[in-house]
This record gives sequence, structure tokens and C-alpha cells, in this order.
Amino acid sequence: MTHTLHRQLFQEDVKKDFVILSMAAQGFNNQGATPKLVQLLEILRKHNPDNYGDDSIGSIFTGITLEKMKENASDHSYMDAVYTNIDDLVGVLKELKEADLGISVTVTGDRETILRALKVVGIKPNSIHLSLGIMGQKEKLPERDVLKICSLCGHGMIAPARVRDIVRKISAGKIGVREGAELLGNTCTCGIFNTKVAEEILQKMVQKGGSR
Amino acid sequence: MIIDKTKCIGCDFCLVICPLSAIYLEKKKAVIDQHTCVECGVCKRSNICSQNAFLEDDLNWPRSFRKVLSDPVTMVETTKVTGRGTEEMKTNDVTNRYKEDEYGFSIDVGRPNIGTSIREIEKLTKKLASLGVIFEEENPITTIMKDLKTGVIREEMLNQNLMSGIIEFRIPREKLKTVLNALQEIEPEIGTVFTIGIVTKFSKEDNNLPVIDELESNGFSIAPQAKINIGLGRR
Repeated sequence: MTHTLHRQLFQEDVKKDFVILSMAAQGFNNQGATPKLVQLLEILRKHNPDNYGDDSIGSIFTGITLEKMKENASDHSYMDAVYTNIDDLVGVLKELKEADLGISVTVTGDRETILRALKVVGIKPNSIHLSLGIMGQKEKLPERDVLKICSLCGHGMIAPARVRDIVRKISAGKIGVREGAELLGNTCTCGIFNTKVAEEILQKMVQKGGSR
Repeated sequence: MIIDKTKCIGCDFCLVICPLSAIYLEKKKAVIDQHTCVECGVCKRSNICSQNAFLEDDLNWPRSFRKVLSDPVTMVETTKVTGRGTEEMKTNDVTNRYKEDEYGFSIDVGRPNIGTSIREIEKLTKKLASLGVIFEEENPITTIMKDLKTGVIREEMLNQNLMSGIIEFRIPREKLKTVLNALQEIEPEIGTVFTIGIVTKFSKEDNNLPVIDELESNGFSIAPQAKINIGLGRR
């Protein structure tokens, strides 16, 4: 699953978007991993994530509480979170290093910023996944702002039509921008939909008079 | 997914919730176009329907494969992984799936937001197989291939639609340009979008990435974002 790699954000948004994914390797270290994954989730939650969740049941914006995530955790869980600033990312990385749980962790975001953060914390990374972007029938893609928001859920669970609908509702004064961002987050089960970035994009879309 | 017509009140609120726009109104009732629906489950999970009219019907093979790859909370039985059923490089520090002398590729077909038929995926797997790539065994798309040497996918799967499917493979480093050229060559034949990801392992000594120069010198631009396995996993 490459679901955090191809977020279609502009440079200003990338600086506010750091995603952590963690999981046990099935067939290697998954047996008995549940308590470690729960501990990891608690660490993720402590450092002011914008959103977090367990891929297999849902995120805080889908209405799943931390207690529920812990209750339902299994050796197959993915524990995910998204951070909106580098200080929180460094904080969570430090604590994950100290906890030494032996569970794999990836960080997605601006490559240079993450590598600098890892150096600060004293972590030597294993491997990197680079994005060469989108190919094929790009003319079929939704308009740029809509695509940016939709790409915050890499599994494609945010409908372009819903983004446009939310923008219309905000413009008509039926809902607020923050509420709109949270509503969009409720179909992304992984907890990687960055509501802060979505809120900023929605705000700009409303100011521009709709989606472009 | 289907809609219970006896419950639907035709409010039309659900029309915007489907990522692939498969829901429409017919005689004042919402209906799901079964050809377009990829069984992702967003409509039901979103609770957008006040009447609880969305019903998950029993899915038989091969339609059930739509749900396996399109509904992120469904686990792929062969790999025990949710999402699209592959760990790719996320556990590379434990599995060593991608080694230092090779590059890994992930080609996510249908992504973002367009979807794909498996027939489109097969166009790519056939092309890639002709280059001798090594398809990743712990990947659901590989499991539906009839022959890894030709990239041919089982006939009964070809008309199934997915939100997206990830083709995952490894190549020796010297084949990078050949594979990228082949992808550019086949691009006009693909009836949807696809994203390309390249995995490389850091050397033990430093965090330099010679692949970036190689890609850029071949005319490819690399997104500023990347996913980094930070090496905290162990067996």
C-alpha cells in the first residue's frame, strides 16, 4: 500500500504534513505484536497528531475512540498518525526510538525535512520510497484543489463530488470550514487525512469561489 | 453494495459520497451502478444514509476481489494485510524485501481517484514481464497472474474494477532506465492513471541517494515528498 506517498500537495502544504505508519511484518515479527502496537499508538497520540487511527477499524474522525482502537488492536493492526509541524514529528520520533519496540515505522513528508529530523534524533533510516508522480490519462483527474484534498486519503475514499459539495455548503454558510474538513475526514479510515491542511485548502477554495 | 429500495427515501444525499460516482437516482430512488461500484464500502461506513438503506450483498468470486483491494478495512487473506494488501517497503527493515543492489517499483494503477479495470493492470504487467522484472510474491495482483513470466492475468479477473491495484516488482539497478522507458512507451495505451514509486535502500554509510541523479539525468522529476522506513523494526 503506497497510500501516503502520492499526496498531491504544494510546497507550502508539504511543510505541514508528516505521516507516520507502523506495522508488524507478517510472518516475521507479527506474533505477539499487539501490545507493542498499542504502546506505539499511545506514543503517536501523545504528540499532538492532527489525526490518528488503526487502518483496520478507523480513525478519530470516523468516530473511533482511542479505547476502541486499543480494544480492537491485533497483530495485523496498522497504527497511523499525521502531524502538522516538525517539532511534534521530532518529539514522536524521539519517543519511538527510546521505546525500541522493534516495530517498523515509516514517515512520509518532505524528504529533506524528514532526513534532517532523523539526524537530529539519531536514527539511521533503512529505505526510501520516492514518487515519480502520476502518468496516464491525467485529463480524467479532478481539478487541482479537489485532487489535493482527495489525495490526503491514499485509498481514494474521499469522493471529489463530496469535496465540491462541502465547498458549496461552506460558501452557503450551512457549515463552517473546520466542520467541512472534519466531515471529509470521516471517510478516511486510516487516520492519515490531515484536517488542518484540508481546512486551509477549503478556505482558499471558498475564497476563490469554488473548486478549480 | 446495493441499496434497499424499500428503505430509500430518495433524498439524494448519498450521490456525492461515492468516490467513483456509482450512485444515481432512478424513479426517485438511489441505485448503485454495479459495473462501476468497486465495493469500497465508503457509502455504508459514512453513515450518510439516515435510513440505513445500504446493504452489503454476498460477494462471490471474482467480484469479491473488488472488495479485497478497494475496501481498506478488508484484509487480504493471502498476505494478512489490509489496505491494498501489501506491506511494500513499510517493513523493509524486517523483511529485506528490497535489497541494496536493486530497485523496487510500485505502480499503483487507477490511483488517484479514477479507478481501474484489471484489464488495464494487465497491459502493464505484460509489458513489465517482457523486461524480466521480478514480481513481488506477497502482493495480491501477483497472486492473480496466470504466469509471472508473461504477466498474463487470469481471464475471469480482467473485467473486474478496482479503486486501484499495486503492481510491485524488483529490478537490478542497471535496468532502471529500461523500465522507465517502457512505462513511458506504454503510457498512451493505459485507459486510466497510474502512479510510480521507486524504492531504494540507504547504504550503511550515509543517506545519499544516487538514484535521484540517475532519474533526473533521464528527465524524470521526483516529488519533494517521500516515504522513509526509519529502520526501527527488527525480527
